[in-house]
Amino acid sequence: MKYGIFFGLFLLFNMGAAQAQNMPAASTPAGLMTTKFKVYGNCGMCEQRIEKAAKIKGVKTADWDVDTKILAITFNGKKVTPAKVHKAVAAVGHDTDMVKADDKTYAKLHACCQYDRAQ
Amino acid sequence: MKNIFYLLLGVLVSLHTVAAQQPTALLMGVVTNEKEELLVGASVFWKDTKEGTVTDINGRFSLPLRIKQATLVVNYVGYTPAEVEVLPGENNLWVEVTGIRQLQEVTVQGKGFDNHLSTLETRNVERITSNELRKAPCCNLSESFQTNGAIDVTYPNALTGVKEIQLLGLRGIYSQFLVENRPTMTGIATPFAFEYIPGSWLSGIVLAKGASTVKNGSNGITGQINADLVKPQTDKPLFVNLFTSTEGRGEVNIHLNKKGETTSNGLYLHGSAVNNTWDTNSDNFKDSPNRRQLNGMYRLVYDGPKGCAQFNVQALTDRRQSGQIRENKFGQLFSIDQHNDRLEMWGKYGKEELFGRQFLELGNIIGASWHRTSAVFGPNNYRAEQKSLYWQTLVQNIIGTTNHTIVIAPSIQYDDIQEFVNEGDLSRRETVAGLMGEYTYSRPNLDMEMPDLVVVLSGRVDWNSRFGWQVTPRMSAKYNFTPKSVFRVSAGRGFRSPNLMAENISLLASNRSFRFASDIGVEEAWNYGVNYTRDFKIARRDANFSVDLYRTDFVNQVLVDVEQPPTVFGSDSTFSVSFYNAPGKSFSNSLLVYFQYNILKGLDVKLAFKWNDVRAMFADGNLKTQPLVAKHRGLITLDYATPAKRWLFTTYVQIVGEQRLPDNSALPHRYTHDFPVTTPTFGLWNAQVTRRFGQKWELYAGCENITGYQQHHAIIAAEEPQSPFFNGSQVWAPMMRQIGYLGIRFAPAGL
Repeated sequence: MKYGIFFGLFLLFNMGAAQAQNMPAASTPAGLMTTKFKVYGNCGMCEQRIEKAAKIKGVKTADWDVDTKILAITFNGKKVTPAKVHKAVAAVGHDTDMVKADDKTYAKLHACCQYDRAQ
Repeated sequence: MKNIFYLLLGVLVSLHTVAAQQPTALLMGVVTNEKEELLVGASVFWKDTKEGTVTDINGRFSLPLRIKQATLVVNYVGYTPAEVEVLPGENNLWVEVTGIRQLQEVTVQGKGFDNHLSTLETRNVERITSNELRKAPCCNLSESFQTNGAIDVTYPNALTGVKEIQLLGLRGIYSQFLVENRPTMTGIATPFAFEYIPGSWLSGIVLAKGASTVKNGSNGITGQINADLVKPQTDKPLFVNLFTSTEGRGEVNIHLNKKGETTSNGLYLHGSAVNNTWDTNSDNFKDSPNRRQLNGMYRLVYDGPKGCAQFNVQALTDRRQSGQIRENKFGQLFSIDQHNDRLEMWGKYGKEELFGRQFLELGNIIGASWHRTSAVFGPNNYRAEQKSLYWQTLVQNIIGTTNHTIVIAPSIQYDDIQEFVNEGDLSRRETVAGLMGEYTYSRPNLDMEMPDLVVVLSGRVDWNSRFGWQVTPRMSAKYNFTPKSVFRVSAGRGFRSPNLMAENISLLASNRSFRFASDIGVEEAWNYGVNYTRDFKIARRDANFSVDLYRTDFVNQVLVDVEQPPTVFGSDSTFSVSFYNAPGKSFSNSLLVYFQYNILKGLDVKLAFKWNDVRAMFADGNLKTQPLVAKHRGLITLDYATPAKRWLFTTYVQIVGEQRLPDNSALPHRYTHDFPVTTPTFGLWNAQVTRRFGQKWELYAGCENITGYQQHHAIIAAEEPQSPFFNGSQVWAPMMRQIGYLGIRFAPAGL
């Protein structure tokens, strides 16, 4: 019986180890996450502004698509959360699907960047 | 025993294969709302397929990746579904859903009852919220079950003031008491354990009925009571509570909290005193002990990128004095004086995403405590000191997908108890080293947006230095017919090491002799139960119905037999208390039916009915009902809150059915005429009003035992404390008539 239990413990630990090997080899480094959300904007100039604003501390890459208006960011989930990126983007004048930009900041945007605002 | 072990082994081996068969490419992620709160039970699936899953209790999901670009749909009740294009190479997503889709009214109506029986939990769990706790004076944990149908609180011993709880008709010692998932107040601290957690410290109580998790040991036979305490990061910066009652009780609670970016700390102070000379039945014995308690706790919590850690210290000193008020004609005074001092420290450390693996979690608990009791019960004295250590490490991971999770936790509990009753030495040391494993399978149901079937298989293997190997298998499962109706089953074994003297300390207030059988062993029982819970609407108002049926079958129970015939020597007779292993069957059957209904806006009614059948074969060869357990119990509660919650009214009636008193037939009749064979059924009525003034102040006042129902004589042979018949343990109703109370709560930053 005693040996049986040790055998059981051994199996349990063994399983833990086998388990670890079955985990997917992450292609993004550990902790790096992706999120996508809508950012309102018009042109290439907007793209530059949005991507620059989005790259706050903890954000590794930021890519905004002019056609779909979707901003994709990869970020370290332990250092930053998407809400901060929403705020950072809105701070330079672009509405997101969660945070609306300040009217004055929006008004100061270049004429070609005067996108139709979020409802 | 062996068979069970192999069964467990088999389960583990088959898990192994399950794990091996999982595809390796997984998409993982979390789902949050716009406030970045993790959403539990959100459905996540590939568009135009049935391939998907549901987020777990941490808001996380995992499912097999698509080879090409594909659209992921995330759905959560009340939110606009989110669609995310997932490109190859993206495997760790953060999805936010936005916009409350439904009308505001729905959210308001879904506020739920304060004492909610969930249809979502796997185990039969009742969550007692802080709102519920505010409906009764709740000076401490033992008083917080007054408006609860599942747990019964017995009336305090007439001499020592010790109260007990009962769960499933069995003494509270058969359930496991945890504070924030850590076993505490064990051994010699048992008699007053619940009184050492002041009511204002409680942020909620989770009551799990039946065979529950074995994460914290194998001793929760009838269930688990887990008290959650206030935390420095969420509690108010300053909170003051003052309380006074006609029992002569005064109480002060002060909380001070400082919340930081990552580090928060809090100091919680409690002081209470009861001073009175109440003797409503004129038996020259105080109706309730004079008490004074000073209790303090300090909490330091860190929550940041390095994980989650906390350090806590609790220190308390408690004194209770009771007994005779005036000397008798021989100049003797029977007095009881109990001192307790305790110091406890505990720490926790937890980390998610260990080694960068999103679902791998680690938790550590370390605790150390010291407790000293010294007490005098008339001619008897009791001294005890206990040093305890506890360590547990818990690792949690998924197997393949979040539909399979596994927990493995080794632990060690060490108790060094020095215990002396008069000249008798009951000292002992006990080490329990064990390993637990728990596997959970959840079957996601995309239409219900939650798992409909969850099966938990768990077990632990412990080595106990006093009683040898102990194998504790447990299982529980739930099946949701709809998200609002659930059926549950549970079964499992439990062990507990008896602490005979501490658990029956009130019996020392007598002239009985104590007899311990030489072969007293570990207590062991199996518990089986079923539950059905359903949320529904009657006339468009929320209702909740639940029925529980549990059976506990003891393999070995240590009986406390106070009914053995006295030894007669000439004209003297000596009564005894015998402790021995039950020679035959010993069991408890318990049925609980529960109904809650929101009759009108703000008005909730709660009805509970309970039937207990608790019997054991005693040494005399008879299968007898355990004394002082009511066969039937009922509870009716009415709560009303005005729309702005300025006024809160609560009233409840407890109905206590017949109880068998221990056999008093060997006593002269003149002592026992007030102690019937079975006690009458009676009701107790309590009420409380709470008034809130602005955001900062709250005043509450109430009355317990409004009708003044009372047990007139609670002490047998009260006039002759030196006689063999003297006994204060047969209390079946309150000894105090109406008790009025008044309290205030104040928090400058808002309650």
